[in-house]
Amino acid sequence: MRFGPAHPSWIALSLVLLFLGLAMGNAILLTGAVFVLLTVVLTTTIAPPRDVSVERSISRTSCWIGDIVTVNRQVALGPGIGSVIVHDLLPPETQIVSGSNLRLVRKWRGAKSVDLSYLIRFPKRGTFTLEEATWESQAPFGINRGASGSDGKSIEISVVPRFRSIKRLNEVRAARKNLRYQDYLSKTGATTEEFREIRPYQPGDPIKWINWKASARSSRTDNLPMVNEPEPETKKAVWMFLDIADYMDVGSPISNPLENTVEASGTLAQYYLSSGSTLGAYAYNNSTGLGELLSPEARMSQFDRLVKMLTGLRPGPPDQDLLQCVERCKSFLFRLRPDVFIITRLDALYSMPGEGAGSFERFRAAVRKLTSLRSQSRQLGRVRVVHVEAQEDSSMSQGLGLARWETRVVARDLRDAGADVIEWEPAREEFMSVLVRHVGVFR
Amino acid sequence: MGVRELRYATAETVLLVALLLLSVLSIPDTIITDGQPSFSWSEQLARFVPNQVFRDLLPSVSVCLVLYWALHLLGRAHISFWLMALIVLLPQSAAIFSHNQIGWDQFFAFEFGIPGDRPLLKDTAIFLLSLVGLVALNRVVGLRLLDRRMRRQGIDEAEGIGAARFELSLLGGLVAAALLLTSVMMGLSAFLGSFDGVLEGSSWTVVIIGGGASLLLAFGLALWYRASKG
Repeated sequence: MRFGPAHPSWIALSLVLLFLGLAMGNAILLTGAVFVLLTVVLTTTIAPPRDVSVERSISRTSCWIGDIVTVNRQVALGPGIGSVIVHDLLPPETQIVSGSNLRLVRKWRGAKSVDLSYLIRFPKRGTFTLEEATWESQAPFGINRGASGSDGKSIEISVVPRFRSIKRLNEVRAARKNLRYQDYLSKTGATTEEFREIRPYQPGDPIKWINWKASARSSRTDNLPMVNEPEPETKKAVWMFLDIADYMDVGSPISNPLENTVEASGTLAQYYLSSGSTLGAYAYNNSTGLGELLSPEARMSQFDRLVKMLTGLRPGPPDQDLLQCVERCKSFLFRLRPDVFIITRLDALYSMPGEGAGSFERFRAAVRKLTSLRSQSRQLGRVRVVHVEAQEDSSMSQGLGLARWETRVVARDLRDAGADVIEWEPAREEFMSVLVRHVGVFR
Repeated sequence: MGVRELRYATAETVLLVALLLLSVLSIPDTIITDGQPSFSWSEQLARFVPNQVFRDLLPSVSVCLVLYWALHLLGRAHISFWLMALIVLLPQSAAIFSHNQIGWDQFFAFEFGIPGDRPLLKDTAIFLLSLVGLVALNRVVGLRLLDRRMRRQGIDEAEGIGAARFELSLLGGLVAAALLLTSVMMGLSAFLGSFDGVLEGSSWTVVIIGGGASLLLAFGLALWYRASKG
């Protein structure tokens, strides 16, 4: 317990009045001394609130970007007079929708319980931690007798990216459906161990597929045995290389090339997984510097795994390059011969005249290596580079003009190397629209 | 500076002006006119005819205000407050010393020139009023700083206003309680002092109030010591 700077001064004043009053036998000075001393004693004896406890909970521990989460705080205050400040230190990305994370509660004598709930929203994906709530009790009259502490367990919230529905894309795909897509499903190739359906035997079916029990129960007139048809292994495979270097994390924290990359990869994943394709991904230049691999799979649960991976991605220095990533994933790439999407910022690869073109050369070498994996049919194993343009604001408009020119130069070289380049301006259109426009090409 | 801080600053200024005026007006008339042994508010106010108000009173109050805020702006709020307390209390000393029971002035052959039959209750009331004003001024300064701190922390404006009201109500309670207790002690002392024959040659008023004040001081110091030891 400490006193404010004025407190000893008041005691000193009362002492002066007391000694002068006694020395001169002056009742007025003594009365003044009594008054001042009484105020000092009364202010000192008032104890601030103590025994503060904070019970905290949140409405959900996992949510989509932009979802509103309620943080419930029940604060119980023990005896004492004064005020208590309760503060939740929120991650900087958090937006407070309603209420406040910093509240001041006043109380007279006796215990008190208050509900200090508030609503928050996370505009960015990631895993965020709400640290313990801190509290600070203050005695009245500015006397530093307060106490402080923290209570309420820390809470972790996982904020996953929200992807737009690909309904519109599926409609376009259905309208343009032709036999080419059917060709991607192998009739005679490898199969998985997953059961698909029971159907009548067809010439060419292996004997081991015959379901003898089902055949015995069958009332078919043609006496054909029934077979267990397994899920065919899809021919179509897609691989995504996601560049999440810190040069992607520029501009608004809510919409920047990094978040756009996340959106694009999610939309692509939905699109291909819903058509039964196998999907794998590799995110490079993340904060750990090790890269994040999503092993290829064809089920829709792969989408959840991708979302989980995307949620935890943090940008890092551009220490890795695409060539290293291709080397790291080559076993998958050789086996699957997938369509490859590389999502990055091409202007970041541009080398100024006179500078070494090392990073771009390695990128181009990686693209060449990937295009060399293309199948004979030329329908599979295409390499597409998605350029995510940084969003424009008035102060950056001149710089962006230069960036566009650099992008064009790099894109031309990449097209020469055999890649398709898709330039996406998130400020002007959604990635869904890009996909709709290219849907015929993408199939 | 926010609107609320400006309000606190205005309240401080008004309070300080009131205290300074009270202090100036409480200067015994006899010292200035060297004549009438009386204390009358009408006479005090009559001293300040309009031209004197502009010539003497306003400039001196303005100088004090400028000094007060200049020291505040220099970050010397503590010094500023106690300097003003001195300026407020010092002019009252002549009136207060006129009630001395022990005549040190006569012993040292020094003459205050103040008549001894001034009304005790009136002088006590003015002195107590000044002390109450100083306590209130000190708290308003504290509230202004508290408000600034709360705004810096980002506490909601309504909660800040509520906290200030809460503190002001506590201050009102504190002053009322302190005045009540002081009055009780004074009344008790006056009652005991009325028995002239109990202890010839001494003043019960002085003995009782002095004893009570000593006890309170001991209590205050004991609390302070306990508090500083945690």
